[in-house]
Amino acid sequence: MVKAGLQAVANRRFRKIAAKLVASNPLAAAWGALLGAITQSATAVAFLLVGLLAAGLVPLSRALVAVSWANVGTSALVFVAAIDLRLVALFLVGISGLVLGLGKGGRWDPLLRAALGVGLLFLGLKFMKDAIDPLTSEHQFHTLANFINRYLAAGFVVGALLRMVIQSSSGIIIVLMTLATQSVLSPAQSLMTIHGTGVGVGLSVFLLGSNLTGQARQIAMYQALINTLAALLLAVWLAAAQTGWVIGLPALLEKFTRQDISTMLACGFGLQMLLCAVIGSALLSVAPKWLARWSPPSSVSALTRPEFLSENALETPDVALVLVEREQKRVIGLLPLFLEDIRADGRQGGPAHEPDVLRKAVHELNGEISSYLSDMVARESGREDRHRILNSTTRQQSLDQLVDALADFVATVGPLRGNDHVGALATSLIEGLDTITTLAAEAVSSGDPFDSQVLASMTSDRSDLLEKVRTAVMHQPGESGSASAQVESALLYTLSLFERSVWLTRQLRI
Amino acid sequence: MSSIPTPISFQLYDEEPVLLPDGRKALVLMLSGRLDGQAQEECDREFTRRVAEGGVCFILDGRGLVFVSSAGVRCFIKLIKQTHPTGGGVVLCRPQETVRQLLEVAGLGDLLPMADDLSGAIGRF
Repeated sequence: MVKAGLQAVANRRFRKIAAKLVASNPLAAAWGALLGAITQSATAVAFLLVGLLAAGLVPLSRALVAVSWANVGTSALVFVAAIDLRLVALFLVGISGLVLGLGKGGRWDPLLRAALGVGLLFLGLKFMKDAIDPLTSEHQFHTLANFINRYLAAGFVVGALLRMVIQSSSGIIIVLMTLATQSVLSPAQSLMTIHGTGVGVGLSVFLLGSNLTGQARQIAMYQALINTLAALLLAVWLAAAQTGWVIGLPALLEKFTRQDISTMLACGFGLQMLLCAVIGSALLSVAPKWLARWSPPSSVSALTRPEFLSENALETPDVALVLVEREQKRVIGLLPLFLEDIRADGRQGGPAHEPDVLRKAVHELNGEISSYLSDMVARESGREDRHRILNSTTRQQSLDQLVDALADFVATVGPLRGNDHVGALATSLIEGLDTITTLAAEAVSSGDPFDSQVLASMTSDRSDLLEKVRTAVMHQPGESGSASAQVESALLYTLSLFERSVWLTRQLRI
Repeated sequence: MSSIPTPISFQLYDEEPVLLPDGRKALVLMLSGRLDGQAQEECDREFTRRVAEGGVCFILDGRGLVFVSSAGVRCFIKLIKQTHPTGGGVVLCRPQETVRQLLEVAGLGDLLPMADDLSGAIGRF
């Protein structure tokens, strides 16, 4: 849900602004921390960055910096929870709620809404802490707490498991603050549980990210790695401190925080997140290479990134139009891939892709091109340039519709190939459309006028021929009953998609 | 005429050239089997060789051609392209029904005329 929401918001303008915000590593770190503090989720920041990566607006290393510092930002809430802000929360909720409820906010509405949100958040933290209180008097709870207090590793394991289930380290730590304040858990054991949540982040990201591919998976693996390493380092330090050989983190934090347990745990968590960022920085020079090896970018994800569009070229419409045309030619070159899996010679020397995956990837690329064209339209340009922009926009619309027509064609014609009665016709349609899309790709690549002439001839109107085929389909003897009606219906739909694809190819005016 | 074997693998035979009404000679090539991606390279090579040897007009006898894929269609297009500058052309003679249907559906009807027999093919030049 978070990813879908961010992708909906992350249009090209937003992404351009976001790319400027992470224009350097220090900026990326600062904004990553701020976004982590606001969203309280390094995962949400990661998904936003995946969009920037897919659009080619930031390099992977910059995105990794932002993600590692987003972890630091997420510790902000824990520090807030360590302070008793009950009175502040009540004032915030009371005043802003009253003004908003009476409709007296005026131009201060957005600020008042933000204040109300913050107040509710603080109140929510207080309620959460209060809710734990009754639990601490339960016998089973004490038994569990004693078990955890006896074995240091138990806290680590419990922390990891809780984080995998609850998906919020901050929430777990706020609960731990209450337990530690009431001496249900020792400071050392509470800290060990916090360290365990780091491994829990790693495991849950690893498990939940198993269906991700390409750069999204790379960022997920990076997040898992730095959290796990930070957690393990601190856990080992804490375990070593129990032997008395070294001073442990609890002892250091006690001195620093004057034995205030809540602040101590908040600092412990903040330190763990800071260590994530430090480890991330240390690995930055080698991480992109390792990640590319563990999770190579899929060939489909490479399709979504524009190769030619340049922000600087928008200043010169002539140049920008040439770049748009090159990008459109690139999309036309991708059209034969739709039929790769179902044609007779498919999978020979080329990659095969699921049509819906291809459709989505090419639509994303088409979206970038359309957005670029919109930016061109918004700028001042001469009459001739406006005419060319209009032609490019019309061609772009045809391309977008053609992608849908091809994907739908593949979906409907595929099952018909094996049918005794219509299989031969289905194969003819597939091979025919493959010839046309391949010729279109070759024509844009070669620029040969003869190729364009052949393509124009092959995409000319043949509605008479297809009408004859339709009539033959409807009158042919074959299977009886609903199976025949179903096949007939599918074939008629396939024919209309074929005709539409041919017509749209002609509209490209190659 | 003896019956033409129709093996699955693609084969191309030279037949006796025919005289066209305008005095030019048309090379007659017998195609048989499956003209698909695997046969594309061989077919392209054979067509190109005959064009290099001076072939301008071609009649492709498709009696034995059981299947043409999009790769095969592109072989035909390439041959048409090679003969176009010299004012020549290509006609497909006696195609099987499935091949005819594919070529018509692909929109190649105007560029690659088809005929039901050799005399009809000669008349298409």
